[in-house]
Amino acid sequence: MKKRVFRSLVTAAGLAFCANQTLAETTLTMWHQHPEWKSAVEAILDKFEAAHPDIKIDLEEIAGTNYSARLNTALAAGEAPDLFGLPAGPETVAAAEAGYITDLTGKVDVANLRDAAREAIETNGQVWGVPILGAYSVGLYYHRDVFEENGLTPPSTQAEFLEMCTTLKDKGITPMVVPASDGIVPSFMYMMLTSSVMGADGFADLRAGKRKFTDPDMVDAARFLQEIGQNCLQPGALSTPYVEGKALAAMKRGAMMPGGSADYVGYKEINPNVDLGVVPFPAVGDNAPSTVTGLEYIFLVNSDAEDKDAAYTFLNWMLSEEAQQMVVDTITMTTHKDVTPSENRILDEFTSAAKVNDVRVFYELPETGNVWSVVQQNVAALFLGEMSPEDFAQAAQDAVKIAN
Amino acid sequence: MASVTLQGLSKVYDGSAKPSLDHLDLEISDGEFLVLVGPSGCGKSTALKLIGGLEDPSGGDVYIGEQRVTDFESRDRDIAMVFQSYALYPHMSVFDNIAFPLQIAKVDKAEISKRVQAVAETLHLSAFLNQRPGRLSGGQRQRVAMGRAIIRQPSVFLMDEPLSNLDAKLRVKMRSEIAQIQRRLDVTTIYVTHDQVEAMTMGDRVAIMREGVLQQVATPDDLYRKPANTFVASFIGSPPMNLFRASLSGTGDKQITLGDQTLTIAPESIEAYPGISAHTGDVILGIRPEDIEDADLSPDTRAGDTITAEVAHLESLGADHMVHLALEAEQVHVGDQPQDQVETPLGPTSGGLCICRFSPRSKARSGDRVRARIATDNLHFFDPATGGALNQ
Amino acid sequence: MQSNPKNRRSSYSHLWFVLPGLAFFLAVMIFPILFAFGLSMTDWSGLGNDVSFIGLANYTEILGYWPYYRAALHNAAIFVAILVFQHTVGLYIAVLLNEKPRFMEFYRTVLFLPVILSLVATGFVWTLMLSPNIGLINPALRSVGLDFLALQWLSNPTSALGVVIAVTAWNSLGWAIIIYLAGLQNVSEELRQAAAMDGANTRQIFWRVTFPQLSPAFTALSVLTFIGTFRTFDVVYVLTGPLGAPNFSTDVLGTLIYRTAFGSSSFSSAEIRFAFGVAMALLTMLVMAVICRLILKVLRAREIET
Ligand SMILES: Nc1ncnc2c1ncn2[C@@H]1O[C@H](COP(=O)(O)OP(=O)(O)OP(=O)(O)O)[C@@H](O)[C@H]1O
Ligand SMILES: [Mg+2]
Repeated sequence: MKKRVFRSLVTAAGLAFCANQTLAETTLTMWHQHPEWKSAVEAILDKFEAAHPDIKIDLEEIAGTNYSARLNTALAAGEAPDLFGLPAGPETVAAAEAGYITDLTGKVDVANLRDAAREAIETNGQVWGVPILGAYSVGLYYHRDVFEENGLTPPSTQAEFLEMCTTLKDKGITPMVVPASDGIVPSFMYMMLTSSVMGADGFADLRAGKRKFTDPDMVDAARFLQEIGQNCLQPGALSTPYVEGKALAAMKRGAMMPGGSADYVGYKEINPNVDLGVVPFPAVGDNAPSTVTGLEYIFLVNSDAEDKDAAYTFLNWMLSEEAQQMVVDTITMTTHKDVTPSENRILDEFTSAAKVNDVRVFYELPETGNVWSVVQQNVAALFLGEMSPEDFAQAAQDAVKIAN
Repeated sequence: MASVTLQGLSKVYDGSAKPSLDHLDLEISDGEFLVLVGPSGCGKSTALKLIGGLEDPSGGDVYIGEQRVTDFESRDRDIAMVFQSYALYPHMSVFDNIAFPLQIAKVDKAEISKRVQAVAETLHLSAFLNQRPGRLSGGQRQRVAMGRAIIRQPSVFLMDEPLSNLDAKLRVKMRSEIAQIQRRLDVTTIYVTHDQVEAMTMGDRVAIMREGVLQQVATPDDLYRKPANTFVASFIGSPPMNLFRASLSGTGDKQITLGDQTLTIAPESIEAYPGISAHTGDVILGIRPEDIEDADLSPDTRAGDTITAEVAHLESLGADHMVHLALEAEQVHVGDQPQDQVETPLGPTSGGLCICRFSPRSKARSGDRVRARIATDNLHFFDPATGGALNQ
Repeated sequence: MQSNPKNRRSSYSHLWFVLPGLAFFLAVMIFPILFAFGLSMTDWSGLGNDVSFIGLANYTEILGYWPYYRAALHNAAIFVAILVFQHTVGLYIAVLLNEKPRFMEFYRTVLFLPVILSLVATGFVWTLMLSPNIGLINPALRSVGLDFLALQWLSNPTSALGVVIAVTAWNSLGWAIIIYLAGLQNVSEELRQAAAMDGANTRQIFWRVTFPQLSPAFTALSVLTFIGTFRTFDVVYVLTGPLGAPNFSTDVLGTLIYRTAFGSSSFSSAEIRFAFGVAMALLTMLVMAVICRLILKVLRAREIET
């Protein structure tokens, strides 16, 4: 009697197992570094899984600062997931050279990418990863309601910004929220400030050694950054961690905050009533204000992945119009040529902000990969006045590696 | 130098229902050596701690001389104490251990050194002054503890079983050394022990305690000859006094019946225990082993001072033959609890346990039926209900 | 002849008994250390195949690498401060608890709680409390009239390390108390009573009799504190970020090594030098082992034998 029950249980379990198998033959593991996008990304993945019932995506989010430590260790140990994100540029090339990732050339359809994006992911004609979660621009967020109440318009030059900074402070309003503890946001500010001086062409010159951070007009960028750091930020900016800064900005504890297109989701989540607008970051002197643009982590296929075809299927689906429409509507800017935000005013504003003067983020390019970290590490000294703008610019310049 | 007076001194520890010390009244005169004895847990250490001010009494008072010191801190009582564990400071040299009370009192260095040397001399410790106590033998540690106590020349010594950690031989030696030192210094001393030999040999007087209650205070001699109750009777003396349930009869010439044998009580015993003259019926009869002898060795035995019984068991100690006679009578054991008198009915077969100290010349052997002569002038009688001596 | 100890020694069967332990030790300690040492003699960045053997170059570079000394100095400052704190406040509280006050269990639990809580979680709570924008501490200080103390604690380079120390102190106090309490409970009551009879007052009893007996606890705690403070990482990482903000004024060896080996942001790994980080970690381990040994030697010599 007992035996029969047992056997039927086993059979039932076996059947259930088989049924499962036919439904999801493959599970792809995937890591990315934006926990704050969790729900938006999962919604997209659900769509994918509905369209491809035989493939299941197992997503793990690892918060920014821990991501590279986790991933590098996992890669070295051969325990990395099937799909993972890395910055386009030097990191991706290094991973390719190490044999960690699969050549995607011809396997994924990159025809619909915008030119800049395609340029960024192609190294010597090879494609190692694709921007499935879009791109971002960084500019200046401002609280429209705060500006309106105070009869202000967003600043576009150094003079306007500094004047507004005084006006706002007199009214007891923190002009700008910057989490400076990890140096990341100030580093973006420096990129935007120097970009306003040199423009996209100037950046190319800089990488060719024809332009320098230590040029007098470029040192002004460091000087302006120091002024902002010393006069316009919330109390304790130097020890404000990223999450707190983001929360402060969302809660209107400051009138402005430098931020990327992808940050909007987070602001909205913290404060659903937030009323933000976006402009390019104010320019140094009388230059044209600038934004910077980079790809979100591009996604690579682990060379150890068991079912690479499933991975290609997934990446291609993610590059499709359907998926990219969701990305642009719920997360950040898309790299798809033909997709425009349905009703995403912020992304529209970013798009128009980027029309003025847009430069690629420094760290995606091998020559300026190190500039980013040097700026990140020195910015506190600059704010504290322990480092002069000249020395700061010199340190940045020293980090430039000019290809021979 | 001072006397010590305890008045109704009591202690109930937190969380215990029974007093560990129950209304202790005691006067110890100046220079006296008083020994406090009793079974383990009877409150001896508690009494010392109360006198020393290490615990607060729940009731009663302590006087040193005329001074009421109940509320004084230990350090203001001018008392020195030798602890059961010696409590030597393990991180200090022997010198510093002995000198500690003087150092605390800020006596000047030269004086300290002089006095420590002198004490070390007396206690044969001069060779060890630089060592740590951890390196010393038990006897040496004990002497360091003594040294630390005597160096201050306090008015009272308290000693809590200072010899209990020593082997038997060393104990005998230290016993007399302590006694000598105490005589010489002439300091009032309260000495706790549960060893009755120490109690009997060292003390001017001995106080016996049981379950926190004082049973009797007297000179060793008096304790031995006139125990106040069955507890004292069985506690003092080794082997202890034999206690049996017996029956008194007669009015002028009194008889006592033990099982089926009858003894005639000599007048000296009646004099010592006047309570029995008006008493008939049940009593507890006490006979010390040394008051029983092989009747064959005593030429002038009379009827009424012998009993006959079988030798159940014999231990020869050389100088004495300890003979265990199987008596057909109810034996009384005294437990630790007051009112705790256990009676064991004995038949000849189960081995009567009346212990007798026979002369080694006795020919009695195990299994023999012997006649034993009892010193009827030295019998002891106790109330069967209370255990109290019938000496009133 | 048969009982010649040499004969006995020539049999190695006893080695089988240590084999499991030895294997485990080799697998989790010796092998990784040797592997790490090998790695530290390369210039591997942590990602990719670009590896070449550079001998001890990483080590010689460390000797002249100012951030390493700066971080070590911060560790040393934390160590000294925590050491003093534990041997004063920790000891004092242990002594109070040893008097068996009412609610002893409660106090002990409350004081030990920080030890078992995750430092990452509590550190995060501290950053929130200390924040000049949303924190509770500054408003609390102001409301009791201590306005002059309501500062930007963590963003001032001179006070940030103080905050790190304070949080570490709060977190490790429980250890000090437990270790000292255990030590105190080993000091026999009779010894203290003896001292009282010998005329000592409470303070003299403590300093001349009780405290010297605590020297094993003192040694243990000092060594634990040394190890704990020199490998501190989580408090700093959570309070002041991977850069030991502001301007590296709280940068410690832990954050420096982490940053060097794994980077300080997810945007770029250009600055990552894994092998160099490993070299710093190994050198730190070696120096710490030597110092530990010295501390033990000095303090053990002062301990009493019983
Ligand atoms: N600190 C204490 N707290 C509670 N009860 C105690 C304490 N000290 C002693 N007692 C109790 O008081 C009673 C008497 O103890 P005390 O130490 O005085 O006995 P003692 O006669 O010295 O025994 P021993 O010969 O074994 O040393 C015992 O029942 C003991 O359990
Ligand atoms: Mg005792």
